[in-house]
Amino acid sequence: MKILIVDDEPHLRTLIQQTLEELEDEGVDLITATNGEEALESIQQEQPNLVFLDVMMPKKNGFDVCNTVKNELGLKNVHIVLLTAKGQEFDRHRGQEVGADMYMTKPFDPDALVAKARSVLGLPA
Amino acid sequence: MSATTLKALIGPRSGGSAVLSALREHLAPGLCIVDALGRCLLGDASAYSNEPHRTPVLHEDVILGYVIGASSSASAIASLLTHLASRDSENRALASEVLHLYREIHLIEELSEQLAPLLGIGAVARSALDQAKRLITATHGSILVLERDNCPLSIAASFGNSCDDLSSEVSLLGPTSPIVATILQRGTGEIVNECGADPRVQDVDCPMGALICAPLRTGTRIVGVILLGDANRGASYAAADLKLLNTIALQTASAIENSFLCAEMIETARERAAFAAEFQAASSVQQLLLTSASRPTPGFNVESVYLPASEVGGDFFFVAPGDDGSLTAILGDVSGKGLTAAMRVAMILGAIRRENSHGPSDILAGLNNVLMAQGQLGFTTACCVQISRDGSFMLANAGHIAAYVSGREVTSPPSLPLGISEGQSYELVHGQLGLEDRIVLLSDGVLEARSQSGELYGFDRLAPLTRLTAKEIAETARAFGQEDDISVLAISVDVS
Repeated sequence: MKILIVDDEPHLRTLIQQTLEELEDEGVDLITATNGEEALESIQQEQPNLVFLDVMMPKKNGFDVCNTVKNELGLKNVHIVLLTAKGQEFDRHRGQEVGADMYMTKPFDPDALVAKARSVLGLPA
Repeated sequence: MSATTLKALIGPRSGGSAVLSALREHLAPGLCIVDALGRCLLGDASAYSNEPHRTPVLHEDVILGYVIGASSSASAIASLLTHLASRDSENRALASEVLHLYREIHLIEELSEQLAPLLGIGAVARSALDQAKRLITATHGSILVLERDNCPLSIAASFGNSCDDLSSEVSLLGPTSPIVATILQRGTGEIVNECGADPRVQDVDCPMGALICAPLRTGTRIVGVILLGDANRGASYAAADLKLLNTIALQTASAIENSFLCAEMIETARERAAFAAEFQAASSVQQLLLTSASRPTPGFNVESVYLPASEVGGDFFFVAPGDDGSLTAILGDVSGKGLTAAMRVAMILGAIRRENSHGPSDILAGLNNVLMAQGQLGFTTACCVQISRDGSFMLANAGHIAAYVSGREVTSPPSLPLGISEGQSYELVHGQLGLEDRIVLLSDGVLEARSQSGELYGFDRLAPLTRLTAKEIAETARAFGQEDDISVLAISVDVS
């Protein structure tokens, strides 16, 4: 089982990694990408079960990555959670259009993040 | 927070992995790294199975693993790994702190959302206790509130105890708890592990293993205390629990303060509604009194208009027939406004009804005596006229605006209003109404009507206005800009 963490901010990646680290003991690999293009490569190569995907990123934003994965590559089974900064109005319509499974705001609730990952990967709560 | 491991430091996610690879390649390509259990993490461990040089990688006095190979190269690599472990540990500690803050932010948000719509203190307290119980292990809990300063604490919500238990003198979580007294005194939260050994609870039958409590504080005021207890033997609370409880207490205190304010607003609204109802009743009574103040006066045409500026007014008038077929009318204005003025109007009307004097001068003097006997009640201006069937009239004025006869002012000697000085006399003025004449008594609400631009109605406009009917005079003043009560009496002899 793999979780891909995509964020151009290294500190945010570290925080999400550290939050999800407890899942490594249960056989989950945490992989990271620093921008949209890198994320697409990683998704095609690694086929992660779950992607935490930042919306505002250089090169290719989260909406575009999600659209490519879900609608162009047809990887419907890759569960994508869009991460958006609190205070920025999230375009729900756009999120639905590109096929995102849900969205969470940053700063994220660490417990909610772990709970979501466990739920998607079928791990006990 | 999970610990730093060699596996993580060597792995691709580590920021130092590239430096490590380059160094290893340069110093000793065949060098091997194993974790503390001897599992190979990098290189070929079997090639070094007989290698006596194992350089430990130490971090905070714990061996994370070993670098196996030539001692000088291994030592350099081990030093680098120790440095990377130290940095990783610092980063983890920082990230852990940030994640803790994230949790706190979300807890505050969650609590705010939960508590914001709750207006009752009980509902706020129950919701806060539920949240506290969810986050902090506890078998018992209570929220005690101080509804007002100097009021005793009351139980707003609890779990694990009955109210009777909490109200007893021996409850650690009740209003008389010695721990609660300390919290209120110090204004800071406290953890009491090993409750039984605490000197403050020597005289209390203590079923708790550990207790944690925090003041409910809004600014400098403490509105209550939140307490959680764990009855399990050996139970204990940590600083992180107190931090969490303090966060909950902060949100709860604001919500409870809002509940207090809401309760006060409801109480004020109720009082205002009751006051408005009383005011309305007073207005009805006054209208009734004034309506009944005009008795039938055969032989005279009497028009009266009364337009109070608010529900109750300070103007009054009274018209009554005399035994000799004459008519006596009085119109006045008491100082002040609102219910106080209205009460004085009621009292004056009662006094006028009882007045047996004949002649305006005596009537005003009698009223002055009544008002003086009542003490300091402000003053009252009044103008009183007695008109005979033949049109002759006598008039006395106590500081009131002059009467008018067909647009001409009826001048009278200056005199003090009623209720200011004892033993006052009011000089009579005599006059004669012609067949077409009307005498008009009015209050200063007509003269002092004020337009939107601030202009007073004034004497110049008043004289011709008094030629109109009482209703027309009052309506003209109101349309100009009513600021005070408006009363008008217009009387003429009926020659039909």
